[in-house]
Parts: sequence; C-alpha cells; structure tokens
Amino acid sequence: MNPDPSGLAHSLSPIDLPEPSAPLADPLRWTSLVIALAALSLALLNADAIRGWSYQLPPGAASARIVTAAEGWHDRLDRFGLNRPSEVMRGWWQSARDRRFGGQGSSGGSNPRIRQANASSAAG
Amino acid sequence: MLFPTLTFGLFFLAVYSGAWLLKSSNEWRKIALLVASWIFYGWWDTRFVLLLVASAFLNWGAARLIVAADGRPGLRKAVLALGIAANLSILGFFKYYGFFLVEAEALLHQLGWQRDLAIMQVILPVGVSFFTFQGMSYVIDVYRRETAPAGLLDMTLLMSFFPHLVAGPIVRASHLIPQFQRVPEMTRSMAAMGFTLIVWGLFKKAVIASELSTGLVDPVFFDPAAYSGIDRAAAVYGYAVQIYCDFSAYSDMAIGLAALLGYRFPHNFNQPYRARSLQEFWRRWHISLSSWLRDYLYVSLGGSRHGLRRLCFALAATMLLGGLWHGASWNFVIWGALHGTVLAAERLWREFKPAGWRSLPPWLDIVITFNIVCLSWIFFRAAGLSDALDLLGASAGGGPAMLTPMLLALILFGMSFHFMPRFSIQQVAMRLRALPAPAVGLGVGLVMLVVDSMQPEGVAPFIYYQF
Repeated sequence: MNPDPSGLAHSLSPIDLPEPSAPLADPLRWTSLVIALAALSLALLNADAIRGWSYQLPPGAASARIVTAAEGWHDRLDRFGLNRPSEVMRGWWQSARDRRFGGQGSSGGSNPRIRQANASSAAG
Repeated sequence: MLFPTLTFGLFFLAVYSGAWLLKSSNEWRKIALLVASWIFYGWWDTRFVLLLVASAFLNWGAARLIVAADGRPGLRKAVLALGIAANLSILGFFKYYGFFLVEAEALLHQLGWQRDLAIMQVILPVGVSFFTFQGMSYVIDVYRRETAPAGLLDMTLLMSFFPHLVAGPIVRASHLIPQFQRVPEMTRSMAAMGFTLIVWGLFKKAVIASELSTGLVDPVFFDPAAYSGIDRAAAVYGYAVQIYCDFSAYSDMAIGLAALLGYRFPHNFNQPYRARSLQEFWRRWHISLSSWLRDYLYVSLGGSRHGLRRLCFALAATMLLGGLWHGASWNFVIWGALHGTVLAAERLWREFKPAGWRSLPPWLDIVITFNIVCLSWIFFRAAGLSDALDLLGASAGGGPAMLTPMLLALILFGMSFHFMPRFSIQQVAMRLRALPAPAVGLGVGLVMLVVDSMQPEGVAPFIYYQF
C-alpha cells in the first residue's frame, strides 16, 4: 500500500497540493475575488483597526486627511452597528485574559519586584 | 513594514494587482516586483537598499567571473574565495564589528592598556544574514556547477524579493531562478494554500506569539530572580512556543504571499517539537538554514567523509558558527555549543551504544529532546549570560504570579500543533479551493477579524528580524 497517496510528503513546497481530476476554472479571477471580498469585509467590520492605524501615521497634511476619513468611516459604520462584533470579541478575549487561577491576584500580585519588572519590560 | 499590519496589507494589494496586470510581460513584471521589494526594504531605512543592491551586484559579478574563468581551476577558486570573503566582510562589519571591538577593549584594559578604542555604533540592516547567505549560496552553487549563472535582473530579484527578504526562508537560486524565467501560473490550489498559510501565520504570530511574549516571557526574562519556579518554567516553555509561533508564522506568511504572486517557496518548518533527537529537530526546524549549514559548511568541514573524530568536529563547528550567525553574543555561542555537543554525543551514542541495550520509548525521546531544546532557548532568549544563569538558579518561592489560565492554554495549544496530523493545513486548503470565491473571501475576512480582535495592542516585530 502506498503510505502517501497524495504525494504531499515528497513535495518541495508546502503549496504543492495534488491537483483535482477536473481542473478548477479561472484561478486568477477566483483569487482576486477572494482578496477583494476579504478586504471589503474587513473594511466594513474592522473600522476600529483602520482608525487606529491612521492615528499611528507620521503627522502631516496627508495623514490628517486619512485620519479624518478613517474617523468618518468609523462613525458611519458605528451607526449601523458594524463595529459591534469586533468590540464584543475584544471584550470576550479581554475577560479570558483577565482570568486567574484560584488564589492568584492581579498580574504581579503583591510582589513589588514583579510589578516593577512588569512596568520596566512594558516600557522597554 | 511588518506583515501583520494594514500598511503591508495595502502595499500587498498594490503589488498583487500590478504583478498580475503585467502578466503579459515577464520582464516588466519582475522589474515591478524588484521595485516593490526595494520600497518594502526601504521602509526601514532607505540607505540599506543600496547595500542590498550592492550585495546582489557583487554576487552576480562573482558568479560571472567564475563562469568566465572556466578551464582555469586556480582562478575559479580565487574568485570564489574573494566572493565569499566579500560577503563575509559585509556580514562581519554589520554584525560583529561592535562586539569584537568591545571585547578587544575589555581585553586591552585587562592587560593594562587604558586607552579607549573608537567604537562606532553600527546599525544592523534588517535581514542582512538572510540575504548574505542567499548570495553566498548562489556563488558557491555556480562554482560547483550546481546552478546556471543568472541574469542581473533575476539575481537582484532573487536576493531582494520581499516575501523572504528579511527572515527567510533562504530560497536557493536553483529553486527560484527557474521560476523567475517564465511567467508564473496561478492555480486555485496555490491560492487556497496561500490564503490558509497567511491566515494561519497571522493567528500564530498575532495571537499566540504576541500574547505569550507580552504576558509572560518578556517580564520573566527581564528579572528572573523575582519569579517563582512555576513562572520561570512556564516562561521557558512559553518561549519555546513563542519562538516557534513567531518564526514559523513569518515563514508561513512569506510562503503564502509568494504563492499569491505565483511562486513556490520551500518548506521551512515541519512540527519540530515532535523530534526524537536533536538531529531530527534540525531536519524540522528552520529547514532552509539547517540545509544551508549542512551543504555549505558541514560538508566543507569534512562532514562524515573523514572518520568519526572529524565528523564530531564538523558538527560542533557548524553549530557554533550557526550560533554566531544569529549575532555576536556569548549567549549565541553557548546556544550553538550546546546543540553541537548534543549532536556529537548523539552520533557517538549511535556508534558505541552497547549491543542489547534497549531503546527508549519514542515519547521519552521526544520529551528529552524538547527539554534540551528548551534549555538552549534560555541562552538564546536571555539578554546576557548572567540573566540566563539567574533563570536557571534558585527561584523565589510562591505560586505563579504571571502564568494565567489563558497563557497556559496558549502554551498547550501551541505545543499541540506539533502533534497534529502532518498535512492538516494542506487538507484545509484542499477543501477551500473547491468552494466559491464569495464564501472563501468572507471566511478569510471573518477569521482575520477574529484574529485582530484577539491580538494585543500593536504588533511586535518578528524575532528573526534582528538576525
């Protein structure tokens, strides 16, 4: 019995997949459509990240225009509730992050050296 | 320009569109990719684009001279030596100049020479070790007649191509130049695998590596003496997971991005923490570097052709130099020496193991190998030798202060990747490619949204950017 019927174990690159018997049509169009729709869904559902990115641009006239546009986009989507899913997920993740083992205090607890080390490593 | 940022996302959208719009002319397509790669690299420091171009010219020229000297073995060898020396000089100046001057000054002070040497602050160009090794392998391959000499455009693009430029994989000329010489073809398999690798890499980097780094590893390695044994152990195992998720994420994204432009990059990671020996670990970890070290250093040092003593020397020297490749620091020397010693010991054990001794069960081999790797990671990660020794020394009492349920879950989750069926990612991609584009596009967008919601504020650079 052939232990590697797909041939994956002998591929030179991870992207070398066995091709299906019937060729899949129009690969470039398919790929471009996937990229376009992924970008569109992120633009609609992750306006907060776009706004955050615009705040980190180097100051200047062009970046000021980008910030205004990003804030406007964020506010417009907020009216439709499209920022809500990412806010909810961030909240869930933050509450998972904040959970502690029984008897364990907040990060660093009462150890002043740990609190100082945390502050220093965060600053560095 | 970091991969998991919106700036890079916009850059890649432009490059993807331009590259496929220029599909009718391979030469213009390559020129566009070259310019894009220089913009990508110049985002850190425009001055170093000149270094990149000079390095490509140097290696292209050396290979041409080697070909021109065909029939004159002495001259060929001399050109090869000059080409390697020039590459090593670039690497040596940027990576080791400061280190050796500081060490020399300390030595002179000990000998009573109290004058200060003029120590210059040398900025390390991002990815210099990667593109220098890539250039060297090209010159050596041409000398060994293992690859045909490339045109200037192909050679410059080989060294500058942005997906692998700053942290590998180290793609050999024999692998990529033939792909540059024809118009690439896109298939849905390539694209589906590209999307899967990009999203998977994004998750490993932005969620697992970033969370472990900021929440556990960085604080504990900053002041190990302040933490309990549980926190220190968690930080060491956490770092093992962090560096895997960070570095393999970069490789995954690089391979995925190149796939979306129509190019195939080689494997770079293969579930390394399931290795049953250190020798196997190096067949699974940073495969493009370990195979580079094997083909160009270990073999040149004699390899296994001159008896056991020479083999052990070649192993130890290769790993020591592999350690120094990461940077000029005694910690990297210790890291390399540890790996070299254990590799030599494994070889000696195989040679002299008494007949009739039973082998260890596979799971115990894996546990022992993993813990040796983790021990070496302590020296790799610690800021200095004393920090590494502090971490290994007596710990503060008490329970965990930094380890939280989520961090523990991330360590276990990160470890579980090494024990999944080997081609799980490929299986996902094979299902995706058959789906309609709107479903895949929305799916990719939603998964990226989830990942973005989980990542800590800001994205730290990849660990291997510093090498």
